[in-house]
Amino acid sequence: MSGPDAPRRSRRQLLLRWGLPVLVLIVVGLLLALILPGGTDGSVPAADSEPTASEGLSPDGEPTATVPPSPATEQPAASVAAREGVPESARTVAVAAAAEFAGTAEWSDGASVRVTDARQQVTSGRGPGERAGQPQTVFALELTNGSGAPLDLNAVIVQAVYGGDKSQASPLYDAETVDFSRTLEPGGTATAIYSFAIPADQVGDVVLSVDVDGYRFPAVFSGAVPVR
Amino acid sequence: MSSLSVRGSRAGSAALAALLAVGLLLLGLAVPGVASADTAPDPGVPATVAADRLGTVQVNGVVWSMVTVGNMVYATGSFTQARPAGAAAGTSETPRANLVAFSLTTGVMTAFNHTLNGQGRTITASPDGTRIYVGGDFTTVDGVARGHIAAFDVATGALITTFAPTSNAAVYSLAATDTTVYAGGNFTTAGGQARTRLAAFTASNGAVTAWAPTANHTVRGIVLSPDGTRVNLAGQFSQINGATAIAVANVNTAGTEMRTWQLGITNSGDAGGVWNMKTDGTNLYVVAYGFQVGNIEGTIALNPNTLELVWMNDCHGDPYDIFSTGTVVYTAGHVHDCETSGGYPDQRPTVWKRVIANTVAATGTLKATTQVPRYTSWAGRPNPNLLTFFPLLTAGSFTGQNQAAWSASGNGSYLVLGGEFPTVNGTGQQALVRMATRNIAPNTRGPELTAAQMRPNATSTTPGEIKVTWPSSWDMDNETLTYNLYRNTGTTPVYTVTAKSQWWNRPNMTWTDTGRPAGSTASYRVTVTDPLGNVVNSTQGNTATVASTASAYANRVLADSPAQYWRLGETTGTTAYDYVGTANLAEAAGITRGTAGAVTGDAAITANGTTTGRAATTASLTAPNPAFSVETWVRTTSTAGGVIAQFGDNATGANTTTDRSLYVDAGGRASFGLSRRVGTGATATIAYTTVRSPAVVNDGQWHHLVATVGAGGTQLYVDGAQVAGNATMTTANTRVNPGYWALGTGTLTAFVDTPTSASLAGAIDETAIYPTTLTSAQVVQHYSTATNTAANPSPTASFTSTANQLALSVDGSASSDTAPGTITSYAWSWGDGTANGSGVTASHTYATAGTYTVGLTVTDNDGATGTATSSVTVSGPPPANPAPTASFTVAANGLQVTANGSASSDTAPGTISSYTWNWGDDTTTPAGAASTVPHTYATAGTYTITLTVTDNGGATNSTTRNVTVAAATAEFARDAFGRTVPAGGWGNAEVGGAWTASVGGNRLSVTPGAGVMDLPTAGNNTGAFLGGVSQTSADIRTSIVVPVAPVGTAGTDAYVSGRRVGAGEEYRVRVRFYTNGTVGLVLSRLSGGAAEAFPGGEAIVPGLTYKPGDALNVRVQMFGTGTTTVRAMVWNATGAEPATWQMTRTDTTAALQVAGAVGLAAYRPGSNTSATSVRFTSFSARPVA
Repeated sequence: MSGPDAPRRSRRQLLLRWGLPVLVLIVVGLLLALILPGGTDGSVPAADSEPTASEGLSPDGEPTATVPPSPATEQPAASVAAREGVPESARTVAVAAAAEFAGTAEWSDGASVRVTDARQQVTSGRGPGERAGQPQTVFALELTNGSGAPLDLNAVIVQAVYGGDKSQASPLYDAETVDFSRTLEPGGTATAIYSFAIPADQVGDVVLSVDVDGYRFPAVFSGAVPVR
Repeated sequence: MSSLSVRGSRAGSAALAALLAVGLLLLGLAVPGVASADTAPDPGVPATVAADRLGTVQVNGVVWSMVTVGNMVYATGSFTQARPAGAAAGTSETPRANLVAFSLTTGVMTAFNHTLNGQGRTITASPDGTRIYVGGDFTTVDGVARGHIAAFDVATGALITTFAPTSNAAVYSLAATDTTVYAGGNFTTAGGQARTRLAAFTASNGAVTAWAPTANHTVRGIVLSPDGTRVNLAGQFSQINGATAIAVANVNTAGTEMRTWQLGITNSGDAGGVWNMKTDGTNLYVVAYGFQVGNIEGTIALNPNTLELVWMNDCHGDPYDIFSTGTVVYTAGHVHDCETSGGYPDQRPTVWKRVIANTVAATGTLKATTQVPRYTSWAGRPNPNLLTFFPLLTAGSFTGQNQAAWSASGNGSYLVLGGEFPTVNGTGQQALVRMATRNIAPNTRGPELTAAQMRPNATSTTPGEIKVTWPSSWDMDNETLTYNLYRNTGTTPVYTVTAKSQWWNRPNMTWTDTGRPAGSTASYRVTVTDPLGNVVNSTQGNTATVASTASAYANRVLADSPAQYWRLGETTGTTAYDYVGTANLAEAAGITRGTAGAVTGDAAITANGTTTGRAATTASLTAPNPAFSVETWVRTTSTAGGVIAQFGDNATGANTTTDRSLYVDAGGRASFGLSRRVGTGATATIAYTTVRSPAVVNDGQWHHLVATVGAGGTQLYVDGAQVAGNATMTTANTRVNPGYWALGTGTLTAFVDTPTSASLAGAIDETAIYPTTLTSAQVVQHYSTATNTAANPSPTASFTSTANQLALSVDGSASSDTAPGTITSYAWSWGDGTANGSGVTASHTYATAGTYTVGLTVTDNDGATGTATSSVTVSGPPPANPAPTASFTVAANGLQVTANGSASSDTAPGTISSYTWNWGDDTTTPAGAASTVPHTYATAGTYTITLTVTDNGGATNSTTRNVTVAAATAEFARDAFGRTVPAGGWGNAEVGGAWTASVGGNRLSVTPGAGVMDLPTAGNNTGAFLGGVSQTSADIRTSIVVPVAPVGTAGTDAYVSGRRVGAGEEYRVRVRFYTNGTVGLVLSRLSGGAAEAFPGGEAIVPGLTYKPGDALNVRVQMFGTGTTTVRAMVWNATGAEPATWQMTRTDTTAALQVAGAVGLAAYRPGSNTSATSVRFTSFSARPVA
């Protein structure tokens, strides 16, 4: 579902540095909010101007190999959902630690999310709204509220992209999938199951974004999904 | 019957036509008496739209749901690109992400464009037409967060920012008033509040309202009653608000008061339910499906307030969506059997109609189905008229479900169908199509048979007459068609007739051209025209020569009403014409024409003994069944044998299965065989049973052969006399249908008395197939007519037999002869090499027990004979009565014991007639037939039980066994699941506290009497445990029902956990229900993050099989620390508990040598392709005694 403006967007969805000071993010976020009036195009504040490792060519056609990426300090671009009435500038809670799928993604206020299970299967739906024989990657997520305030989980948006061209994976809902919901009190833990149409031969290169609300930056898991 | 109207174009032809109409009626070829209904219907019947495909925007996936607002159609589903009508897949594409809009009148896509990041499942409009609501899987719209529901402004096309409610899973169904939006689906929260699959939102701000009824399974349809007082619900649930309501219910607008329907539907969940629900402002329409016996399947109209039945169409094949114009109801789906509505019965091979049309008005009552027990009969219920509207939509591959149409919408002038079809009426038109009423449509769909298929046959067997026969055609949207018949190159019809036909009901049509000069020739063509003027002009037919003398033989054959009759007298060309219909034979290169025939004045064909010596039908024919006859003539000197006539399943002769085979066999004799299927599934084989003439037929003379099959068995006649018979050959193989008749060659692999060649070198003539039996009088009349000999019909042999040990009594009094003939002698062959017996009745005593073929040959006063054979089994006399042997087992459970004496035996044929039990506590259970008896002792102790068995000869035997009983220990867990849990899950056990979901909590439910673990998807794990229990010694009993047969190698699993120390730390016993009906037990160990281990391996329980729905009792014991002993047994709940454990294991895994909880679980292995569930109907646990 890469629209015509996908390359432009992916250049703007630039890198978040691990452990960047929250202040820097706020400043850059504000700058971007000015550059992108309305703030509803789903872009992420840019932390710097280096191209992402996923880009094949820089805008002028130069191979990106001439700009050596620094993997230790970069993470893939997140999928972000816009929220009505909540400007992009309201995103103030940074991701303190992003993660590979085996790790835990933490926000700077102590909240965290991890993938507790991942499974690759083939759909066997029957009847209207269902599909049979399609690849399906199922993620079990666990969100822990390590912050000091209640966390509204009613509008968590989990999205996945895969492969070198960062194809958007369609969410799939069946009897098992269930989103995060309700309010999570401090110290509490919530679980949810999301699934996406990711081909089995693409699970080695997936970016899973957990966008909790309009106020914290999405947590991102990337790399190979450890499907069982 | 007024459905045939005739107008003669020439003086005199009307009277002939009227005679013909009567003849058609007498022949049973008349069309059914349903009213004409289509784009030009009979008075009082509503018109459908025309079947013309109107160009419409296409999408590259599936359209699940549509709504029409004014002139705009909004469609949602799963797709990424749209393209204009006429564009090939992958060309001229414009991105449209799961939502598209187009003009109803032009079919052209509009600029309305929003990106849903996941599929939409349902779409509806507000009653005032200002808003569109979409529900589905998506979580963002144009990158903006949306919790599976979104609203759009119809006027501006914009996403409405003030309506952004959330739910935590997919939304399947929506209904809107101007102030409230109702949603159904699979969610358990909405707007942050607990809402169990049903919720409502305020239209102005998206806030969740207080409306909160609950459903225990997916909600797939919501419709407001027209007066707004009831919210109708449909789906896969069996409960609403915790009360039983299977698949359909309605609630008041407070959500508190519930009504359901009263149609006795028996299934819900994955096995059956309702896929969708719509209204036309008067009726509520539900589309019901069922994968098991008991459910209604079809479209059902209900009162939208009371849910009382208005009508049902009982058309089988899942329906998916409905659109009603107020006079016509269109159902999208794959209907394949509409028999009880007066429509089409199941076809072979199956034909799926992807859209059907019914009247809104009930016009009659349902007939009884002929498919019991496959379908439940709903005979007598009100029923609408099935209308003639059968456009052709082909199945697509996008959903993997082999479907075409999934959704329907429109208005009074247009029908719109959505789905995944790639073509409509044979032309590319993907996923969306429009059709329109006659005043709008081009009305170009005409009669469907081609010019070649309409080609008439002309034959003459009577001086002065040519009989012309042609098939009736059919039309997608017109039932009444007009036929004009033209002679030679004439342009004025010699005959005109109108008749009704449908695609499944196309009788032959015939007319006789009279007053033709002997020896003159004529050929004919026919046109068929629909009421809109679409016409098909047939290929000119064959040239017939008018007979100068009557063919007495041919007219004798035709008088007995064959279904096909090939005289084989053509001397030129490569076609052998059918003298009844138009099922002509194509003659291959190895057929020579013009051979001197068996009947004077008409030639025969000669087959050359190779596979090219073949004359066969080119279009498939419905098999003659159950009663039928094959008649032919053969002349050969071949010792290699070969097929004379055979019905096979392949047009080219490469048959997979054949049946109804008449052939010259390995001995040069005539054999006739029927095939039957032995076994099931991939291992099934085909076996043949034959009857065989006693004399050879390869003597170079013409022989008349008739094989006739019916309820009385099969008789084989040679030259007018019955020469063989078999009372057990009563039906042909129904699997060979439709098929092809072939003469001269075929397939004889694995036949009886198989000749060296399947291809006959010899002449064949005058071959007729009858849809009835022929009597011996008819057969001999045919033979004597051909040979100009006096007719003496063969008598018919028939007898009954009674065996008494080795003595057999037979009675041939049911044999008969055609008057004035009489049977003069009866000869009995006993099948054991002894001399024949005689007399109407006879008896014979066999030397040894066994199965023998007994034959009766009756001879009449003119020497004609008839034969019948039957297989009889005799058994040996009783020996001196040896004493039986008493044997029993005993199992104790607390103070109760169950003694099982079924292992006691007696020497055959003796049987044990009674069991007497002395319990050793001064009580006795007197002699009775039951081999398994319970007994409860008053006090603990050791007792001696004595069993005495008595056989049917009065001999007795006794044996004893000691049993020690102890007082039962208290249960620490017990649950009979006699409750409802509206919120889902299993709630609280009667003893043992709350059930906690270990996995798959949303698939746990309780219906009174069973704790249910649903397994809708391969790989599903579902489980629950009693976390309040902690013990190291558990004696667990439970009863398990697997209601659906597993499909796949691994079956369905149930788990009984006796020691759950923590998540991923437990001992449990897996009970595996294999696809082949066997049951396996294995100890399953989970510990330390290691993969599931099975110490000691699996034990398949000997002698135990189950069927879906059987209750199996399971007992599991786990006890000990340091070393844990696990043992288990499983048995059918209708039988006694086994005396010994079927699986015993020990294990020392350190982490599991501590106290744990008890629980249950179910798993559907990835290989099991059938959605299923596991039901636990009882559960108890106590310390091991």
